[in-house]
Amino acid sequence: MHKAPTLTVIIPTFNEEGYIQDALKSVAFADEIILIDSFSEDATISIAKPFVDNIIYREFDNFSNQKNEALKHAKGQWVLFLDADERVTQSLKKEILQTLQNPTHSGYKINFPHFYMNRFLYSHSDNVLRLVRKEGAYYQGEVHEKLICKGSIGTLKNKMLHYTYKDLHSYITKKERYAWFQAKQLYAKGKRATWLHFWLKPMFRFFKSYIIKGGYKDGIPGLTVASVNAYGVFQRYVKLSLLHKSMK
Amino acid sequence: MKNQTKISAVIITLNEQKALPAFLESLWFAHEIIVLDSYSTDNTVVVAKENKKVKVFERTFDDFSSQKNAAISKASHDWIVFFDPDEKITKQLSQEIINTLKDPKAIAYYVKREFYFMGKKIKFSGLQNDHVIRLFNKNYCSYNQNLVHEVMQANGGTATLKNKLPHYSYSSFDNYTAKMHHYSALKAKMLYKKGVQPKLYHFFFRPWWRFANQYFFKLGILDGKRGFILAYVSAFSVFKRYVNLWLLYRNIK
Repeated sequence: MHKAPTLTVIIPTFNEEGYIQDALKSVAFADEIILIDSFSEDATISIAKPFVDNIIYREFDNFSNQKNEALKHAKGQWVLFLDADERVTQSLKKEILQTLQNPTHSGYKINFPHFYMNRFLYSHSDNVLRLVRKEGAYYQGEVHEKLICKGSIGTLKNKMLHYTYKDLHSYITKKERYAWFQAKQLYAKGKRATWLHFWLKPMFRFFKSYIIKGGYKDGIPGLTVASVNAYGVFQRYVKLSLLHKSMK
Repeated sequence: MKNQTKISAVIITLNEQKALPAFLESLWFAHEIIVLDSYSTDNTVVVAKENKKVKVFERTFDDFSSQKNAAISKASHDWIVFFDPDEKITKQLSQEIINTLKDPKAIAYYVKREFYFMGKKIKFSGLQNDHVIRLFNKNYCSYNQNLVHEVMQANGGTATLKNKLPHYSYSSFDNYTAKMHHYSALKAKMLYKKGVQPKLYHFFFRPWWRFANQYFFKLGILDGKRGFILAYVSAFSVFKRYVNLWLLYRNIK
């Protein structure tokens, strides 16, 4: 058995004291762990210190720049990007180690089922590129940062656990904050909120989330995700019209 | 003002330091002002005490009815005015209150509110009939036990004052929706206490019904985009109420 390439795990953090330890434990198998922290004000750093090889402090501007900075410091030939609220399961760990023994692609997508109201919604899951050969890999995009890698991309079978859900209220307020962000982007492009946006966009989003993606199979949590998604879209256009009125 | 009937102004507060000085000033016609604060984290209490008529009390907030009734119980006089800090008591209205109390014909008086949303007066959307009791004799009136949308119960004749009450509850959209979220959570608790089980029609029918009722039947459509926005937000908060209820039964947050 020849020696597998080395693996660096990169975790961006900001005030993650409640989450970080389990995340770190789940990637203890990596050759190197790098934390890129945007000056956490809680116990994140002291909790993480015993587990990590390198902590980089950087003022947050966007996720792409943050992760690209950490990438410069990575010593591994392969890199796995992990968020503090994500956990690599035992089976995913095995699969990663096996895959790296003899990689046939330059990057691998991992499946993230949506954790919501204390259960996983299998109708809402995404394949996201997270494991890449470091050579030529980088993030781009200010909002939805996207990992780019040189060469072909495969998909791993096992799932990543992602604990986004804290409670319904913070889930909704997160969407509301995000709506400002999106509204500002539309505003910068000179877009205006029309009646069509108000009536159709939320409905489309609901339809997509509930019917096309199969949210209806997930009972009330599936219905809630779809409705909150639609509400987030609605808020985006409300906030766009507020920006045009210079109101909050 | 010698023979004026004594009036106690009563308010409940939570982090109102900004609006408070001007609001307390607008209660110039009251003989004492009772401020019942639910442990504000800003300077509400300090600011309140700067006004000489003010007596400050503190109480942990549980629900609006209990909080308001507790505030009323601190008042020394029979006649109470109970406004919210986001309501604007105009000179005309305060004069009308003084005149009315010279010879009161009722034990409680309604005021018609004018609701401002996103910088504009909302004329329809069900708010055309928004009237609330703001002046009453405490011996005949108290708030009912509703956790939200507490209603004043008056045992006796009521009347309506002529002057309108502008209601500037809108400070920002996020603030508005935060209030709606607060209400929907409280309402869910109320239903849970009553043992109401969430049913499918609650999720699929009630929000649409709320939207249609407010936007079409109550003519929100005539309030333009603001009417649509108000109807959507209230429909969503109805939906959220039942999700909250569903979560309560499962012990999930």
